[in-house]
Amino acid sequence: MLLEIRNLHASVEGKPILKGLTLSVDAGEVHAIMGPNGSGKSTLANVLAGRDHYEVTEGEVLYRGRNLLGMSPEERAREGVFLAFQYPVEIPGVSNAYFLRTALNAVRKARGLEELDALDFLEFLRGKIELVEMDDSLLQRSVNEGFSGGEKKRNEILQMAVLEPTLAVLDETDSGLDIDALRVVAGGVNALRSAENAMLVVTHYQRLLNYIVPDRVHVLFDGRIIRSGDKTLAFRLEEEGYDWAKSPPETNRAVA
Amino acid sequence: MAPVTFEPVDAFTARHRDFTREVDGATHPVIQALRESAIARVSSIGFPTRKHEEWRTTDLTPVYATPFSPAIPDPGSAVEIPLPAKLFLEASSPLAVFVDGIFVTRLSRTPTDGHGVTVSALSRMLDESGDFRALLESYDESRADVFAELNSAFLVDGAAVQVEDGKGSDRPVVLLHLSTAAGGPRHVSPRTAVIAGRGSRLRLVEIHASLGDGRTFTNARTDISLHAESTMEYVRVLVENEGTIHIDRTSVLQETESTAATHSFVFGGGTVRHNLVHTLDGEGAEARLFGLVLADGRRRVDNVTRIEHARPSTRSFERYKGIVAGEARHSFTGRIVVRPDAAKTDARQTIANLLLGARASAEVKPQLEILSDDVRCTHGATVGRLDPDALFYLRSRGIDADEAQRILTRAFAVEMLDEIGEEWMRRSLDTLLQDRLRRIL
Ligand SMILES: Nc1ncnc2c1ncn2[C@@H]1O[C@H](COP(=O)(O)OP(=O)(O)O)[C@@H](O)[C@H]1O
Ligand SMILES: [Mg+2]
Repeated sequence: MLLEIRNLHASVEGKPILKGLTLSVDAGEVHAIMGPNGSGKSTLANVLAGRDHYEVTEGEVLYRGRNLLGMSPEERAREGVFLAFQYPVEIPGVSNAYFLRTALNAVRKARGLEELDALDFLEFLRGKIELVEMDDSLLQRSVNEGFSGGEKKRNEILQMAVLEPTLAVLDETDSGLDIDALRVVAGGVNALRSAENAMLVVTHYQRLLNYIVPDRVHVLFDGRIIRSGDKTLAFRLEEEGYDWAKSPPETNRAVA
Repeated sequence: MAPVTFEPVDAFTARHRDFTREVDGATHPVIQALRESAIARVSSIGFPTRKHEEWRTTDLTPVYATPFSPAIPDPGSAVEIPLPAKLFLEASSPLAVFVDGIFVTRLSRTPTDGHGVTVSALSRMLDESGDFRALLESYDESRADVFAELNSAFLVDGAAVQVEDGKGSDRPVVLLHLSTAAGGPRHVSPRTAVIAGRGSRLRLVEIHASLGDGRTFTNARTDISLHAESTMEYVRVLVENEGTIHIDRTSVLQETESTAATHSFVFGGGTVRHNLVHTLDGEGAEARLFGLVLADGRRRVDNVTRIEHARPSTRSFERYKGIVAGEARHSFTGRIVVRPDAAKTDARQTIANLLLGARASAEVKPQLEILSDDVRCTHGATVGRLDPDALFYLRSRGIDADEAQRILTRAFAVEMLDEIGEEWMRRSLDTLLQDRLRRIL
């Protein structure tokens, strides 16, 4: 199993958010996590990435059989965990190209690969940029500074394409995107899909799942996964809403 | 503060007596005479303590309590240019190296390049131009500054830069001041005089560096006279050792329609006080003042600036930034004076400090003295810490915590580098900055 989350409890500022979340993801799989606002989707994503603002009070997370929660954020990234942020941070004064190269080299170094100089990196980057259909000028600008919503999300996918993670967590990368941008984001994700990698796609809308077809769909509600199923669960949710999902699954089993 | 247990005037006067006996034979008569009048002024002005409001932020105790003996310059001394200073030696730029205030021909390159720029020892220029003598001897009693006079009192020689009317070059002139900082606590008095003629252009870099680890009292002074319609970009870099107390004064006198940009980088020194004065003494003159401080450990850096709008339609723009780590402290005092007849003055001042340690501190004191109507004068100050969201963002991409801090700190500072027109200067300063950041973070 690539990722095993067992009975995970996490709080923010003393307030419990995740309340016993259990989830397993195997290599080669794409899992979608859906749930209403405030149900804990971003909390889960941030706990996996190692944000110290979130306190894990119970449970464990194994990544490739190792204790993920014991690793620093940078170690996790070097081990192949990637979070596409719901709200990417603007970093004035740091050029996007420099940021991408520094990150890539940090990860390559940890993986025993040679670091790339500025020229080799640009060469490497060219293909990735085409993949996300990003305007070249965004490379020389400060990280995310003054980027439109869509540009920020493309930039997240570009980072993912550059770092080639083993486990990618996408936190509402589709929110606020027009259909073009959605296609690009999905294209980036699908390009990374392989038998060795896995993805956790957090989304509000079934729409994205037309492009990124998930192996499993989970409904997160009040810090717990209350229902899991195949891709049809997403359609059902869209039609019936979360109240339906909250009702005891037994009564719905026939339709799920 | 502990009471000063001896009288600094007496100590400096006694050292002055011994010093002049030693160096008189080897100095230009104008400088010799200046030393005498200056020591008399030092006595009559007296030395400040922290009770003097203007000096409240600077701890002068080590200046008074350490037996700094004036360095006797040795023009034949074998020196090698220290590493941080080497960064600023671009092969094609004119370079003048001064060791303990004396011009060292062997280490310098001062071509006469047809651009009308002359770089030489001050003593040589005194024989060629009466203007330098006037600049050297100018004294404004209402602005008496004991350390500026102390510089004259212990002057042996210095640097002179002259640009002819309508001439000039974009290639920076580099003045490198080295203090030997060896053989006991040393007192050095680097001095620079600059005259830029009407409609001329000048790029000038002054670097202060130490040759050894010894304690030094660097009492530097630079006087710059910009004639009408001249343009100057001036970069000042302090990279002295931590045992250095650096007190200096840079005065820029600007005539009609002249424009000056001064960039002050304080990366070294234990205690630093940089006094910078721009006097906008001609209609339409413009001054841009930029400063970057990087202080860690227990270092103290004081930036004290004064911009005097003496004529109508003068403009000033001032931006200083401080990166303060450990238990270090950065104080900024920025006085802007708008004289009664300086209508249509436009003055802006913004100061930003970044604190990197729980015990680092910064203080900003704007002082606006506006004696005219119809002026526009704004100021603002911020103090902050590194953004935890940005730090996490970088770390989540595999960049370790220390490097993430360095990247964000450099990002805070980089704006001050971007203001510099000369590409290799920007690169050298960036290299130096990043090297220093690796030591701090
Ligand atoms: N940084 C934070 N500080 C305080 N409360 C937070 C923080 N982040 C999330 N929360 C709270 O945790 C709950 C779950 O939030 P979140 O994980 O962002 O939900 P989702 O991503 O599913 O919308 C919400 O009630 C939210 O208010
Ligand atoms: Mg969310």
